[in-house]
Amino acid sequence: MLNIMRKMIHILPKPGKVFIPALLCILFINAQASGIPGIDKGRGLRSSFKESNSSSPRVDKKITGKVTDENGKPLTGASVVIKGSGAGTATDTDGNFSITVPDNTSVLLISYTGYVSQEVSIKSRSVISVSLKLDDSKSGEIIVYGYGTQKKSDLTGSVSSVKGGDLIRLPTQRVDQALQGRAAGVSVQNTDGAPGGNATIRVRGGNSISGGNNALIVVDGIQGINISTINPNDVETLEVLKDASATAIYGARGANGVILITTKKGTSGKPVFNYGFSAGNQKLNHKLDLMNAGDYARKANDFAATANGTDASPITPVIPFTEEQIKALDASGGTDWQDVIYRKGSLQNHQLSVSGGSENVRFYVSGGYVDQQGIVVNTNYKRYNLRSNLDLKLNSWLSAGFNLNVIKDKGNVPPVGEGTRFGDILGQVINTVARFDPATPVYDADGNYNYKALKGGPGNSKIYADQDVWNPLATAMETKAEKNRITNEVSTFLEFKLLEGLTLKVTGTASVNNTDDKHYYGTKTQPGRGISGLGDLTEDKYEYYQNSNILTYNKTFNKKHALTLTGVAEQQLIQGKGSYINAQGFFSDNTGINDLGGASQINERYNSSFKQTLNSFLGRANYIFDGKYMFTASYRADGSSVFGANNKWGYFPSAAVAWRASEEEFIKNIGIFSNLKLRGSWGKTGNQAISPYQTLATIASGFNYPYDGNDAANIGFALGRPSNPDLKWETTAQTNVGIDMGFFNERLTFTLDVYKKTTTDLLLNKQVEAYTGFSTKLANVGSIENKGIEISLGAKPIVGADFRWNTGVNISFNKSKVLALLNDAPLAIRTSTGGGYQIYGSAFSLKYLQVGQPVDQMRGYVNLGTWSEAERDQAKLFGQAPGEAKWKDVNGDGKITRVADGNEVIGNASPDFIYGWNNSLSYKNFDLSFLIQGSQGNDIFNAVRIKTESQTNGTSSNLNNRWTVDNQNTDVPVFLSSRDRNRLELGSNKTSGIGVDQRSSRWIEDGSYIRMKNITLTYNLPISLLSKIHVSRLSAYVTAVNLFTITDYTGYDPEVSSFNAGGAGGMGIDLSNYPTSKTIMFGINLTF
Amino acid sequence: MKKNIIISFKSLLALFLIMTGMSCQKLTENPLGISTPSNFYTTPGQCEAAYAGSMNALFVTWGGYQGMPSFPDGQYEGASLDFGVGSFNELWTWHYKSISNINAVLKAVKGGSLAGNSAEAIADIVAQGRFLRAFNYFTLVRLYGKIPYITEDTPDPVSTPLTPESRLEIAAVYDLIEADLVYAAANMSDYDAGVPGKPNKWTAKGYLAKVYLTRATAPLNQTENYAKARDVADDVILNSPYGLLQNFEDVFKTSNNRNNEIMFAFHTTADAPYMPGNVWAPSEMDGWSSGPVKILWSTTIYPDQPRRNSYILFNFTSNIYDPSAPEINWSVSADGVPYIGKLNMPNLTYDQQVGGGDAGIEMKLLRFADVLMIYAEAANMAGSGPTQLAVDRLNMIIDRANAGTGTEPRATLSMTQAQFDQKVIDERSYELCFENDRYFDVLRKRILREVNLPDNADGYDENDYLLPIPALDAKSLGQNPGYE
Repeated sequence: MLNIMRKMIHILPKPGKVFIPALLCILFINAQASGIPGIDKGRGLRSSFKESNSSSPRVDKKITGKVTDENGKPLTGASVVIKGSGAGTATDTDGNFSITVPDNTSVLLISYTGYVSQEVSIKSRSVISVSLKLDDSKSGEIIVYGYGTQKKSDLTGSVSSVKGGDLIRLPTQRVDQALQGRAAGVSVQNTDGAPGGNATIRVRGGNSISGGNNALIVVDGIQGINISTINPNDVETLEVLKDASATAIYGARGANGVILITTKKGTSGKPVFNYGFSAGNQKLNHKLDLMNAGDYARKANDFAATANGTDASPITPVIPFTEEQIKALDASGGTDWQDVIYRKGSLQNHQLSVSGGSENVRFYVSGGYVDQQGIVVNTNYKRYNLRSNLDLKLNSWLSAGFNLNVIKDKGNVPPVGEGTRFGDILGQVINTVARFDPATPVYDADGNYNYKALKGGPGNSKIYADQDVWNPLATAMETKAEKNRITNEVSTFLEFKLLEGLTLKVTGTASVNNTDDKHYYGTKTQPGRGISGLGDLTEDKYEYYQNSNILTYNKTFNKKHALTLTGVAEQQLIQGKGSYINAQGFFSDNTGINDLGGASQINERYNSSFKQTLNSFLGRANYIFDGKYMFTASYRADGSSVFGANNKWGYFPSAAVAWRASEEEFIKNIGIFSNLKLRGSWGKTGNQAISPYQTLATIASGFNYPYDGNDAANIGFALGRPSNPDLKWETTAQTNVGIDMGFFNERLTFTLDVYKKTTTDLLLNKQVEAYTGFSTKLANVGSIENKGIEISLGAKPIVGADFRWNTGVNISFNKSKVLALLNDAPLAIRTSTGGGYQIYGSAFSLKYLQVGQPVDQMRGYVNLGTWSEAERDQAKLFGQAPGEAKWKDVNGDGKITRVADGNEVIGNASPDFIYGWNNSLSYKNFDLSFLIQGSQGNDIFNAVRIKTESQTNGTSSNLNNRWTVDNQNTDVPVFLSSRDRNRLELGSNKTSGIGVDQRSSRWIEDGSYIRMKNITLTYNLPISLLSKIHVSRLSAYVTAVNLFTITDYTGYDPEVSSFNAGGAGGMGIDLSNYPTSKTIMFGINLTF
Repeated sequence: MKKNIIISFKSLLALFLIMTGMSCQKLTENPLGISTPSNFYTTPGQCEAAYAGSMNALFVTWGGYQGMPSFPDGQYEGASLDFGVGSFNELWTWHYKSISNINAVLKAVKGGSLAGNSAEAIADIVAQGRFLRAFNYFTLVRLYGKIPYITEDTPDPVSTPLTPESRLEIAAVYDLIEADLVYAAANMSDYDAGVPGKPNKWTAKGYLAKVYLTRATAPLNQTENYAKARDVADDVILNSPYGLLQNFEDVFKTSNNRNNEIMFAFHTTADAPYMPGNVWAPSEMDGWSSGPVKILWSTTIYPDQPRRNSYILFNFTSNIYDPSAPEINWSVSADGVPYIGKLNMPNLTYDQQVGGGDAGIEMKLLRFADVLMIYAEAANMAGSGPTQLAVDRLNMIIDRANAGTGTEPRATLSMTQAQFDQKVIDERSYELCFENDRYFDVLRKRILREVNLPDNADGYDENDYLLPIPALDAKSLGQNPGYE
């Protein structure tokens, strides 16, 4: 592999010796280079084409004109090149161009992506208007399709396409976040509102239980790219491959859908500069409804008063707050911790790009900078991007390309949510901010943090507040969580035109990423207290190399038989290494983890390395008869090092047919359809889901035992796991049926897809016979089904000259069902423990997979609110009093007992459907676009409320709504004094069997929402004005993200999930994530 | 131009073929930072590390025999004969886990992984492994009867599941255990004070004597083995460096672990695996009340003597945190039962008793006292009655137990063969109580029902002499009678 890379690098610079100079020229755009056609004309930012055309004869001639499409709509950015010289320009937003040509020029070459290029002979004309025809007479949109391109009209598979321009408005500058609501069948959840935070992308639901469910991201042919490393400004198009006809070509990596991103390329013509700037601020979307200090103190007193013993042995309760103290708290308002922690965040972006080129060299270079100060104090993120895309036409039969993407990003975001290394949620700011006592000031009289809530009552000895927390401001400010990442992606190719219709493309790509993360919990934080600070260092290096050799044969026979054959031999190599060290006892908080030598104790250290290879061979045949009947068949063989010895190779076939009925005379005669296409496909894809070495027998350290009988134990090694030669990929078989319709010359379009996916051979841990010496091994046993419907509707209701309106709606329904599990026994998932929330643990998990049930269901106990006065007698049967919690007695045995898998299904985190409604309107120089997006019918388990609504020390305003005789219709139980309860002689409490288990339906909330995801108003300065200053486009805009959200959910944000990593069942639990924010930005965009 | 293309095409095609020809990378994995059975066991140290791992499978912090199995041997209060299919399943799991780690060493060594070491050193490693394997199988065969004897030559049981035919007849299992022990006794090194806890050839011989004695009794009753047991025990008594401590109080002191009487034990250290002291203590001593002693046996059957009052905790402080708190008798304590004296103060220091950390409590597996009694029993049964040496060696234990004031009668030469045999079995139950030994005597002397009378014998039937095989394993191996 490496040999090939080396070879390619050797091959590349040779042709024409242009390679390195071109690169230098692009990188130092102001420097005057020579000898490179097209670029040598540029003399920096100020020089215009007219002035710099020094190599041409002196007698010049000015030609102006306009380039439009067939309907007369101006084409912006169309290339106008002087044939023979390669010099040229591009059209402005109105399609106008102006070019000065040497007198002897006879022909201009006019081209535009997706349209048929035209040569126009000038003769004596000085004004030329050209209308370009679409490449295909009906629809020439070219879709990038695994290992090739295809006209959209010829597609047999299900593909959603998003234009790059739709992605750049989101100020977070993240492709994944911007994809939300744009494509049917694609669910994007912005579960992490932190600066630089990740989004969760699911294409047509999740397939895997223990493997990953993230779509494969392919950028310019490089597979497995981290989508967060892509600058949205560089994206030309983004395609989501959804059905097996489209994804099967990616074989063992394709089961979760594939997102293909194509970055921008230069077009020949004079260099086009684009500069964009935006800045704005962010604030918390929604504040939690918590009590003020006065109410909190009164509540604390009321609760304290319930500890009054019995008539037989009365106790005088200790009341924490005096009337004077409460008055003072009412006056001061106490501490609003949310105001202390959340601030107005800020964001700014700079984007600069230049593109251009000649007939033989085209380039696109961009740089970007994002700086974000998060809405939580002491959180921030910065990103620097550089991209350079270079396309070279070396001669008539050889072309080459070189793409480079370099990203550096860094940030400070203390870990929040589950899955962080310091799992103690009590030390996490987002969690504690909701729970900390509002009566306690941030600082004590000496200016030090009040680490824990104060106490009240005589001698300040009465605990009234949650002591199991830590000052949120101290947590936020005294924790350093530095994240540093550098990503380098290089892709190169050589494309040979071997024969008419036969091309060979040899690509070599590499992606090298370095991560180094540091955490330091100072002596003023919960994890670092008493141990002189706690810190860790993580360093990871990840390398990916790919070589694809793609042979494509494309020929149309007898004008009716169009055949495309693709054959690929590909190899991939992934390798990485990482190290980690965790230490405590630092001499100084100032240096902290940066001076590891100052640590008195190393707690943990390890390093690891891995290597993974994938060899693939694949073929695809595409046959179209008469533009009406389309057939695609593909077959891929993947040989993977991570699979077991008996299953090294996986095979993934697919087949699809499509019928363009609108090409049939009898449909044409109806006169309604401008497009009517029926599609059907079937195929298999895989999910590697196995990490390297999992099929090998291992011997593990850590089994020490004093074998010699001395004072120190001997090092002990034991067999870790058995070899597992049968282990293989998870397989997803998918069937898809779709219909595409277009009416009124595509003014109205409609796409419907129906699919069913069945994933088998899911990896689960299977118990093995004890005589083997092992307890479990991974086996391919489970099965999950996803089926759904996706509808997209597009319309151009108004297409006037001054006023235009484009609109699009997409809606996706997906239903999952577990088909098989190990012995079909319920499988507890997300069983890691944390924070004392009592909603998981190996035997008492909120989430269970059950055969016949959806993946994301939650199990627990059904809370029916509280007992009313009228139900006094019924309550007594359970040993309960009016006002106390009322539970559903599912099995009718007269008591509520703790059950491992809960009593009943109490919720489902999967939505019934998700949707997006996208609009763009323009009136004269104004553009307005907005995206409304939402989710319907999903449940969220709001675990935060378990603590904030605790009677003893909760902070939620809901506690003000607790049961009283006058307020019986509530699910917040009464504060019942022990003496009163004793008097009722209720006997044993038959609901106490649940004990500490908090899997109550009381914490389940409807997570449906509808939100104005993005709205942007743009003003384009008039061309007449701009042309005077040699600017082709200047616009200013205001944009808002998450302007409003309509939801019943009471947490920070309904788009929440605290378990994001990996497999199934993670959705829908709110355990305090970094909240999403509302953003308002102003920006300008300049093109010249 | 046209020509150019054709020439290029040919050369490019060649290039393409070269590239595709090269493009197949190896799909086998060679991890750098992970040990596998094929790259481990290459030094004697690594092999012994695996043996340490095999012991760790049996005795580990909060796992294995640290949670001592309370067998219904008539000495634990509350033990029951109501065996279900899940009863004691973990013992099977622990031992087979231990065995798999031992077999992995033996397999690698057989394959030449230790090449380059002296034949003697290699034989020593093999001998240690075979000793440990025999030790595991000896426990398994006594508890489960017909069992599969997986060795380094058995095809990988993960990929080649066992069948009911894999279970060997009990005598065949013993033949293999004997073979392993005989090899071990011949090839293991001698006792080395530098590694006082490591098994040596005397440990192997001690176990060999015990195996012979067990073969001579139920269920095989191959009485010709009595003589073999006698002779091997005699060899250990006469020639090994082990001996009987003068005072029984010194045997279980954690400060005196690995003393001259201990031939094999589950060891502990402060680092691994540790065990806190209060696990086995009564409530008054801030204990967890684990291992309550059967009241009938300890107060009525066990003769009154200093040893009894040391091995069993009858009287203890009413509040361990109050130095002035009076001592109380178990009968007025919160738990209302005596506890195991061997595992509590004064064998532990105060700090070990109440501290949460390591208490240094070992679990004795083979003691010199045991070997003396093996000799006494075997010599009596091999001939036609007690010999002078058998009587003397048994009396060494009784005299130490009585310590001048005890009431337990000594053994005499005038006892009948049956009387003396009973005397030895009783003495074993007093001396070796709570050392995980008594239950095996109960099994081989077929007195399971008797020792559980009067209150715990309700669930008794003949099938209780064997434990149930864990359900998943029984699916391929078949189950013991009474548990199907």
